[in-house]
Amino acid sequence: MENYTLGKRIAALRREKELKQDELAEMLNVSPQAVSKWENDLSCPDISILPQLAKILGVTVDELLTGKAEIVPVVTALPEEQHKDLSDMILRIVVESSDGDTVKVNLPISLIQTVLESGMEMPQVNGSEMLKSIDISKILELAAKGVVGNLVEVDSADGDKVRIFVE
Amino acid sequence: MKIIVKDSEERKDFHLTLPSALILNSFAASFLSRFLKSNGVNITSRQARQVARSLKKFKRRHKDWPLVEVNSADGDHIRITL
Repeated sequence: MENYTLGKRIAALRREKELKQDELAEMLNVSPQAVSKWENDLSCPDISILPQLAKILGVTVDELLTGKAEIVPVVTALPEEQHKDLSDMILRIVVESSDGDTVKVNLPISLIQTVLESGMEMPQVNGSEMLKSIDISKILELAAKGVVGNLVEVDSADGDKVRIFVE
Repeated sequence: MKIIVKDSEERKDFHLTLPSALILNSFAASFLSRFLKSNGVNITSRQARQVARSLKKFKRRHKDWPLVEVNSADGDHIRITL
């Protein structure tokens, strides 16, 4: 979300949380029009609201404002009552090459499930030497058991870095 | 679906917005499977349709989802949102 404007970031995070504009407005004691103006970059939220807004949207104030502070969650096994629906979970693959290129792929777990269940291969992952040995179905099994966080971290000898995490 | 390409050298931005209905349908899925097969990726049209259906379902809940983001060291940027 680094390249998003503040408004676009608020809108995207609100949608991720499945909140409507008026629901978010009510939680913050502001008018729905104010939220609409933030999201359309016509105005900015008051500084005193930011901590509460960030908390509701599940990010830090820094991440909300800059979009840069990417949280790398530690591996956590969620208790059964906190298990997320697999259709709302995301598999993030972040590849940082030694020459400064970054590739981020955010795949819905439901999509990967469909791919694996129908017997397809994951061409992008299979095509990468670094990721060839990673069994995506095992990662899905872990996700279904409520394990979230940074599940895989690979540092290659030539300086490339690959991280796979489930959110 | 939106595809945004920012070329830092030529300072040119390329924005392509494609209606989801145009991409995520049976005909497009069959076309895609044929294209991928000819490029060595083995995928049947049925499988491609299943992927399209799954993406459509996800899009309903997560509008403008950033599927792929590429940032090159020299400042080029590619972003594909659902």
